[in-house]
Amino acid sequence: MTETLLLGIGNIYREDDGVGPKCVDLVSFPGVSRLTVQELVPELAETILDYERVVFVDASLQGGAAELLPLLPRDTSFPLTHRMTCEGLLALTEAIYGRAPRAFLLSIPGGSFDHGETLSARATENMEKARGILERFLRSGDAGGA
Amino acid sequence: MTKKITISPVTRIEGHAKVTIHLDDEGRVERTYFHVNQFRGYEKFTEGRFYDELPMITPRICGICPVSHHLAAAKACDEILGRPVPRTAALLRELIHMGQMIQSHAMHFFELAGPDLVLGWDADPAVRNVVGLVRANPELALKAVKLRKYGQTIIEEVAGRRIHPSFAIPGGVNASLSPGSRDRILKQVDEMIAYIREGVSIILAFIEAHKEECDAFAAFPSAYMGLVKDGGALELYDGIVRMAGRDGRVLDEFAGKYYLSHIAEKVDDWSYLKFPYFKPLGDPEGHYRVGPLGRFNASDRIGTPLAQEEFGKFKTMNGGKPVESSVYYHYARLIEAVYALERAREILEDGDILSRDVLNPGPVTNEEGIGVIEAPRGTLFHHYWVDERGTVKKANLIVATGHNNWAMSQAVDNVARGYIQGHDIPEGVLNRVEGAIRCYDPCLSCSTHAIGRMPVVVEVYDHEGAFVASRERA
Repeated sequence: MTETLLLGIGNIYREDDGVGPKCVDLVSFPGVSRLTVQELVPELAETILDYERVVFVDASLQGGAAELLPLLPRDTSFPLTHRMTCEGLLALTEAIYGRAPRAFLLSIPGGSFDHGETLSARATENMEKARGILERFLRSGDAGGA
Repeated sequence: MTKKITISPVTRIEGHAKVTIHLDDEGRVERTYFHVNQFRGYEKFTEGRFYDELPMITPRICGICPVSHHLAAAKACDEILGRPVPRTAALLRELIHMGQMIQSHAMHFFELAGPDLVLGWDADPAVRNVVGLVRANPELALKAVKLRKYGQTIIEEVAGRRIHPSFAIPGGVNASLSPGSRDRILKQVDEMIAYIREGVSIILAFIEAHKEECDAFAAFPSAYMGLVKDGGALELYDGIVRMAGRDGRVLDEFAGKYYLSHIAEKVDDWSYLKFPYFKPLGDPEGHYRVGPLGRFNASDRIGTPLAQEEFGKFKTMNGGKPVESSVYYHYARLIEAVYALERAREILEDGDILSRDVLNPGPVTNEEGIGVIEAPRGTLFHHYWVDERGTVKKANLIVATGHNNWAMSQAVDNVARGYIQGHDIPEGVLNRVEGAIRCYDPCLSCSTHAIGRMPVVVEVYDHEGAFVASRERA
């Protein structure tokens, strides 16, 4: 089983929404796989099952600085939309396969979510900080949590 | 005293949809609306780009059906080149389109329709969700995930990557199919057909058990639109646009590139999203439905045997007349998934499928191109205007959720009138109102061109606008 999956979430053509995938592209570590998606979808349950831990890397509208938070499986339902949350994906994985990987969310605050390929100054700064957090986290081996 | 009930998503960025139900003094429904905030930033974003970038840019509109936008864009670009696409390239494009259909339809059944169909409309909302469905029927859930995965596998094997492929390009595709990929996809087809037929059985059992309710559920007359080929067979990748009337008779057939001559859009002050209609019939008679039920009511047959067998049953559901109840979208959707699997097998077994003649490139020869495809949720138009060098001057996209805008409002109005009596509204009734929308599987990312992360809030107001209660879905 491969150790860690970095899963960047977001749309690279929606300015700061693309900060997750762009951050994941910057980080290269032995034993660490990378995947970028625009939205979470159910079949990712099978994908994340192959890893001991998953770090979701996503843009955020809130918060002042990038931060790494532990995540637990939690039932979520969006009966009118195709939205799936990180916690919901973990809950789905656990429900289907009886287990889910340890998971974390690296949340990167952004400021502008219009159409465009560039990041705002705020998101760029936060992405660099997030990259540092991620590299320290991966280097530490993460014995117990975030 | 009148009361207004609002079922309102709050978007993370911009673009939203909500349902408002207006009640009179006696608690009867006066009128119900489905509002969608239209945000057309992607059209603007494409201006100034080179046309051959659009098959890569426009799929980012949606994380759920990117392949549909990818292919509609490529087809529009083919017209700008003005050159025919090699047969094998067209087959390979259709193959990834079938992969998209399989995974999208499976996702809807599993995530959105399944909880109602398996657990029931009135089940505890705490468990009436995808995780509750897994707990109730883990084997079914595993099969649903495998079906979605299979659809994605087709896209990945053929197009090189499963998410946002760069496979279809103006004039064809950028890679031929390897024998290994062909064999790997073919190997699983029968297993996947068995899975989807299990889903068809579940829907039929639900309809049989709730026949009266299903037949009346969000049932109303409309016109119906979809692509057909060979004189009326269901078509998802290419073909001509057929418009069928309320009685099922063919009103018109036209090449997709002439859509502006046949379709007009009405504006209402309560929705940002326009209401398309068939011009010769005008408003309101000309409003039509698209997507699985719209396509089935507009088609005469399906070109593959197992899907045709089910299609024959579908056509009898309303005594040979068009099937008007929105619940039957679920049935039609899974029959289409059977068709997509069978059609994928046909394509993979075609003698030309491994040919390396997959691209017919050339210079810009036309300053306008229109691509039409049947996306999972309905007919999708991409229309581009370019200059002589191929720089995009303007773009217009009409997506399935836009076509169904009128129908979704009719559906929620119909259900609200049928179920809401008085101000005490049980959760199961509100779930049915939402269920009327779920039948259409609207893609709010596509219709608003927003990011698609939209929690849902239900709010209740009295006739003076005073807040009464709310229920949050996210």
